[in-house]
Amino acid sequence: MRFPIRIRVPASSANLGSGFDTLGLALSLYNFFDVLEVLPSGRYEVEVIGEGSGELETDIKNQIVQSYEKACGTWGINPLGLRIRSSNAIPLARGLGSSSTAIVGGVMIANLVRDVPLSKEELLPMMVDIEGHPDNVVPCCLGGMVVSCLENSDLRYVKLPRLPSDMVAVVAVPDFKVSTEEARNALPREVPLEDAVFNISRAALLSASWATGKFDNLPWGMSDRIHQPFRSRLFPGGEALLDQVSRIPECSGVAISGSGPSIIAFASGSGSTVAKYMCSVFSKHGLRSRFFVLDEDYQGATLEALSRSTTRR
Amino acid sequence: MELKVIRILEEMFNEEKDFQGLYRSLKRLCDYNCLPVLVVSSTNPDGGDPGYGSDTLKGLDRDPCLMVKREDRFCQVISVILAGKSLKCKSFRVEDNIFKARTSRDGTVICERESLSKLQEVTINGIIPIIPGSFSLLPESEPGYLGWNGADLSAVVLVEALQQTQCYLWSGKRGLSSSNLPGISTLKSLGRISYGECLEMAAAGMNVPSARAVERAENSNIRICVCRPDGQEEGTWIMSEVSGKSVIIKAVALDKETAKIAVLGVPDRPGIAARLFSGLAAEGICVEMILQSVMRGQINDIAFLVDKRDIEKTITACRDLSRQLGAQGVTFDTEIARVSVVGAGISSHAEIPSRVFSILAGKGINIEMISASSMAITCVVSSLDGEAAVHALHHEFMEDK
Repeated sequence: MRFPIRIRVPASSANLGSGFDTLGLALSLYNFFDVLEVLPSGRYEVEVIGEGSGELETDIKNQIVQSYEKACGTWGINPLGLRIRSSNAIPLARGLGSSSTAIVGGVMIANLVRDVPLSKEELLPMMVDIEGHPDNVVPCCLGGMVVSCLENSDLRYVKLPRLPSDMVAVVAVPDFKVSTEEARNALPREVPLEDAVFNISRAALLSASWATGKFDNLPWGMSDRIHQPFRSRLFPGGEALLDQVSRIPECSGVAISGSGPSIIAFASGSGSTVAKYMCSVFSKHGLRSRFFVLDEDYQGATLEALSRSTTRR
Repeated sequence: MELKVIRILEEMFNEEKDFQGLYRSLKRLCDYNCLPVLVVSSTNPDGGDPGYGSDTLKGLDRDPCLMVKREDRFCQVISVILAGKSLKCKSFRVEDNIFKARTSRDGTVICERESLSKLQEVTINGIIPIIPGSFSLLPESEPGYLGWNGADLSAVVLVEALQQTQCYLWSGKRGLSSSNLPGISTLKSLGRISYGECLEMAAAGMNVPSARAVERAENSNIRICVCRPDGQEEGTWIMSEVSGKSVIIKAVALDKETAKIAVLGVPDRPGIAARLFSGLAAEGICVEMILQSVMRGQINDIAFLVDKRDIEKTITACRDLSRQLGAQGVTFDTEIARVSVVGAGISSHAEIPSRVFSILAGKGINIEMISASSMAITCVVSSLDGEAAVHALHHEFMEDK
């Protein structure tokens, strides 16, 4: 393994409305994990810069290291100690797959230690196993819009064609955190049959429309009755946003990103009208927010050799 | 007979009594052996900004021909009304070429000898000239729009050409105030401010005479008076260094028309910032308060502010550049406010920055960006906190306690 090396991992937005725990889209916002040097076995130093600085663990308890150790353990490799710099641009705990990037990054670092490295596709089951669900890690690793299904440890997925270049994903990120546990607990244990039928039809329509380029179906395809009506109540402005943003002419579909509280909307052109509106609704509800205008990332996680000068502390 | 160059705004005239007021003010001047020279602005009748920074008519939302016609027509209306009340007037049109632009690009406005002669032919006979002030004639003989409050610049240019020393900007207000936030009950009227303070107030988003007019006035040592038609001796004088009682802070300004952009994870290589800002310049996007984070791991973040009206062009330009540079992403924030305290000598009073930051901290207001000059400290805060910040700072610095 040659160091220093940079692993660039994209953000991802799961669910996209109807595709609960199934659909995920990689986005052009990245965390950089720079593996700077090898340390004695068992010793880890993680420098966290940007999002999560001061919050994320900086030793063996860091999610990148945990995933790295888990992968090495599964493969029967003695894990080397590492010095890692984690430069994070993806907001933490906002529904943009920040923790998935750490899992994908950790497993990809472990893969570098293998005598015969595996392909990204071969690494996916390990990543999904660590995460517990595939909807973020699969697009995060492979890029693009991915439909994933998991049964026990069997993973099936299909990567869909690209989003047209004239469409953008606008993501409004409020200054508010919703824990995954809270988001899970907000959901009812049982779903009425008509709601299940509603979602199955919309998720199928969304996938088929994306696959065939019929993007005018997105507003229908992204509607949901299973999780968004409950999760949108967990943060100020959630219900108003889902209701009102979809009426903006430039908007081609809106959903809670992952378990929230970020909101993702597809738009034509620069996306500025949709973005400004989303942030103004958050403001009206007393929440500070910012926004990203993102493309679909189609490459997924990538590796890049760095120059030696980057290892300076 | 002394000439008095006066800029008037169409927005001041809504009812018959407003024209009556103008007549009385002009008549009083004439009675005191002064001859008013009126420079008219009618391009921002709503008081809004139709396109700040536009040197030419290109890029304006409004129909440029209609704007020219509107200003010409308003000059005629004033002329007819005043003539009906026995004041001798002559209205000029934009095409009469009183104000010229040296080139179509730099927006430098001049009043040539030939134009001056035309004016003097009128004034020598005691006739009040009424001149459209928002446009200059470009070298290619097209009207060039002088931007928001462009008539301020024309008025100063005329004072310069006529070798006068004072320029009057008449408005509906008594002068400039200590804040632009409506609802402050303890607003103070500013008696005198320096050119530099006025320029800082303009940059802070206050509705003050245009920066180009103030710069030109400073270069020619022309004093500007912002006042009501009925109270020329009151109002605010903008002049060179103001002596007298030392008031360090003159105004507290709020600007909610700004957006914050941060390009994240930009490679730390020579030429990257040049490439980023050249791309923005090519789109005509003006930026300010540029901050670059401390380099770490050969990448850093570059944050800056733009006018909210430029956000669409900025999004497109920044996304393209982020892709080309291999940056981590770009974040946009339109829910911010700039809060500025303005006053000469801030830099020589060591306690001012700490007082500003302590006041904001005391109100629980988080500061996202800071910039300081010798005459202003500007903090970027959440738009949700903007008004509270201005109230707190105004109370601290402007109110007698």
